Amino acid sequence: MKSQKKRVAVWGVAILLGLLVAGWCAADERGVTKDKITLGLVLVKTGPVAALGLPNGQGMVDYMNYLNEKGGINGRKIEVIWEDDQFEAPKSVAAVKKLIHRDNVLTILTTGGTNQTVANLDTINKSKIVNIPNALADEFFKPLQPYIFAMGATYEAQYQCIVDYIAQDMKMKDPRIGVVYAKKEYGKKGLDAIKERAAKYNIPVVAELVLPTGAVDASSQVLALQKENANIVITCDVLPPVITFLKTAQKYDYRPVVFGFNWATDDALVKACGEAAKNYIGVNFVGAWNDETPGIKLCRELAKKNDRQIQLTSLYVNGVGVAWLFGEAMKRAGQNLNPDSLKAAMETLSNYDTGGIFPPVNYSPSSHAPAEMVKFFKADVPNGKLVPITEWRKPK
Amino acid sequence: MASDVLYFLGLSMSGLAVGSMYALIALGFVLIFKATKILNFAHGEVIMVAAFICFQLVTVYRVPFWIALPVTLAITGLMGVAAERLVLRPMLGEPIFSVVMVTIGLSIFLRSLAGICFGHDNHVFPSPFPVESASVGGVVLSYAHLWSMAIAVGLMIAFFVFFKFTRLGLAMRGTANDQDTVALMGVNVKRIFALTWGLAFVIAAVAGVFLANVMVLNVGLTYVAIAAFPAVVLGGMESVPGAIIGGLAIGLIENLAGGYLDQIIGGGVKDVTPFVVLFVVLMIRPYGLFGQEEIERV
Repeated sequence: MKSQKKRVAVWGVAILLGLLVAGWCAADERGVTKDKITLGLVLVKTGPVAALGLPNGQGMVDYMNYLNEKGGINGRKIEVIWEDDQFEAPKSVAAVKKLIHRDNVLTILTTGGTNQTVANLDTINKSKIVNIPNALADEFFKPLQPYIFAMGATYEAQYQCIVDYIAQDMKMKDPRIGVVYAKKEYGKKGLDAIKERAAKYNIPVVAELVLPTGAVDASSQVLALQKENANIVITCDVLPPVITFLKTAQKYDYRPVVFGFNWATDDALVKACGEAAKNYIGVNFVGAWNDETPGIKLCRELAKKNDRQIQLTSLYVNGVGVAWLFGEAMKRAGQNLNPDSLKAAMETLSNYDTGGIFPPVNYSPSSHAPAEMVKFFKADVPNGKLVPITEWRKPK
Repeated sequence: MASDVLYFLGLSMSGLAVGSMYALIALGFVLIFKATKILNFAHGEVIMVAAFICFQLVTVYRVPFWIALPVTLAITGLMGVAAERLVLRPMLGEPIFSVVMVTIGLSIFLRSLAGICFGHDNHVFPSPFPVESASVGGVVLSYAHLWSMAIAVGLMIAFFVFFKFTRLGLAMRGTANDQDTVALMGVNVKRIFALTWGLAFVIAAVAGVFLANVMVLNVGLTYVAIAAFPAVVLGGMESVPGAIIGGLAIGLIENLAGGYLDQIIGGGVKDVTPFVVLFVVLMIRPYGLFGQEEIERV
């Protein structure tokens, strides 16, 4: 009887120790088993801005499935758990905690936009969440955030490139810039960058007008710009208000050259506006949907295969590109895949080519800064698409 | 000088055009409040859903716009009756606060349902109106705006006559005033409520379809109702002409502020102005320009 009790006690202790060791091992290889890698994704799926999150996340999921079909990463299949934050920081914080503590994911591909990523900064660092935010702010890479890899071009860089283009490529005789902006972070940063850059070239900024995202009409803005004889309008606004602006301008037979940044540079704009988009030039840090580069061709194939009805194609391309970088980094990390080895592998991406999806990608242990490069696209109205008119370029 | 006058006229006309949209939205709020003393927080969602229904009819089922419009009005009218019967009638006699909370619930339900059924993409409504604008003496206005202005004014007259001279209109006004008394006089209060909700949903549908013609159609269309709300307060919560005049006034003030003050003061004066007006009106005439001051005798 006594020896039986002793045996039970010994077994009990052994099982407990085993569980502890197993737990310790599992914690060390978070989200990675012999044959599976679990990744998280926090992106808006529902609500007013769902149109921005859905294609982006779909691009990531489709590319990971594509990798799975090719045998996975070092023999491991990838599973992506996508949480909807409805573009709200508190929901993003909750989703990140759920993914880390309950779903035990290796990392979270993106924790959302600027506000969401900033709100998650502590958790990102404590839990070593290697991620690429689907927005860009200086605080993501200045100073270096160890687990954030910035992608694209900052709003400032995009607008600097636009003013450079106006001054050096267009060579307009008497350029007069009008700015239409949203009272959002991108709008204010864009406005400041335009004013600063235009001053450098001695180009007058003759009007600064607010156009909110849900504007019913842009008549007062168009009339004010006409009154100031603005022959160039730079919009710091997302797609719907830019469409409203272009259509209102057409109504008043006002035809300046209109510029827009990445959130308003998509084939969807040309399809929506038709002839009103004739003078539209946009910048983006991803290739155009109809480019014949290998990366963009793959994007089109994946969308077709997965029967994606994508409206904002540039966001789908971006999603594929982000997943591509993670796929490459996981491959480089090898069998010993964990947050630290993933981070180290990301930092080895040097002049890395994503087949025309992004400009060459460069990260290092001392810099996770974005390429800050954009391409210019012009509206091809008869074909309802944007066509590139420049190569990748940086602010001069 | 001539260009300044033209600028002023241009701002005024486009302001009135936008105001006519606000007026249509405000009218829906007022109709329900006038008959039931309920502020319908789901009004913006009804506007958006109606616009999507018409959009689907035109683009997916290839129904010509001028047939799709009455079909949309009929569907949304039935939705209004159904909403009253299923959601609001069980709340009859409950505190106003509870009823308002139910309308907030209805708004969340409709918004989510719209996301599931119609998606979250941006759409451009295939407008039946010519792309070219009408120009009178250099003042430009789109045909969609002209139509909405004409419809707003037409509805104002129609509802004025309806409430003033028809038995049903009188019954609605009576119901708003004292439900118990009109019930004792033989008015079927429940029927009046159902009709009112149906009618308000139809007006919301008109607003939604015209808004979709000038804006980008997405689930965010609901938020225009917030922009139109100052018009309801300005005109008076229970006044049909007040809703129309309030809507036109807010549109006009908003556009003039945008044209003249935005550049001087900067930073979105246009959007703030209606709410400044709302604040001032609430301070001076809490019952609105055309609303009725409630006097309680004790």
